Amino acid sequence: MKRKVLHEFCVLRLVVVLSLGAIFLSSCVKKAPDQIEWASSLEDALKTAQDQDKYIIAEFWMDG
Amino acid sequence: MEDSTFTSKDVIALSKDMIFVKAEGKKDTAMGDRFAIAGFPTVVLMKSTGEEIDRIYGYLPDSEFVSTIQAYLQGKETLEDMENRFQADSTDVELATKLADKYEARRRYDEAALCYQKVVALDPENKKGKSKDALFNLAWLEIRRKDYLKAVDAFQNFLEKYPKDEMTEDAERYIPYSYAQAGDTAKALELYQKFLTDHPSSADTGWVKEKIKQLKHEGSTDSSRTQ
Repeated sequence: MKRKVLHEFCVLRLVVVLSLGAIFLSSCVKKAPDQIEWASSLEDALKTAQDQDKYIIAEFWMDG
Repeated sequence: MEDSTFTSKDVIALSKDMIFVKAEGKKDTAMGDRFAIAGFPTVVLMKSTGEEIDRIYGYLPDSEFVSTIQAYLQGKETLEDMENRFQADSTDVELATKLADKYEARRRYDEAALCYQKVVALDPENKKGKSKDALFNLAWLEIRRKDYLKAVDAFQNFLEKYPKDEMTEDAERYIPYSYAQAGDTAKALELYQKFLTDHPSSADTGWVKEKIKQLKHEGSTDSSRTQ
């Protein structure tokens, strides 16, 4: 009986350690964005692009 | 594009190296003028300094959008690249057509017209399938340039060359449109009516009827003002 409890305790600890490890690793991996983030204006886009050395894509659209 | 191309996984992946911004054509006319936007949608790819690399004029499906942007980032198929290639070989009809489209998308209509003229001159019998569109676009450029009587001549020139073609209807529709824009309402009304008689089952009859209605309304408003 005592051996069974010890065994279950070890399994539980293993599960907890593995879960914590998985959480830690997933936080280290940079996730791809799930949607595009839009700058509020061209000036804002230019500033951010210069700060982060990125390209700019400006979409000009019209309704209808 | 926001509901289609910009929700694609590939475009979102591309966005990690990009800052996206959008401008609504009717509201943000200053930004449209700053980039000489010729129509919508247009996507302008810029360096972080704001210097334009190139643009995409019109809708592209996501995979083509991504491959075009990637080509631009490598300096391929950009205006500069095409100008250099055309300098090396100015007999390439396909390249001249693409270059004309690039200029048109930047409102550089004179240069676009020169390229379309080159296409027509290189292949007057339209063996490569580009001259017909080029001749039509030469007329359309006159509308863009607001030289409406020249547009009439150019569309008539198109009709002489291609009297029975899928684009004939469009040319016959834009001639009265050009007359109306030039202020010749009587001629415009006459030719719009002729269009309805000649093409009763055209998909554009609604558009033409609306134009006739507008012209008649404007005519009645003008005559009531003078009374």
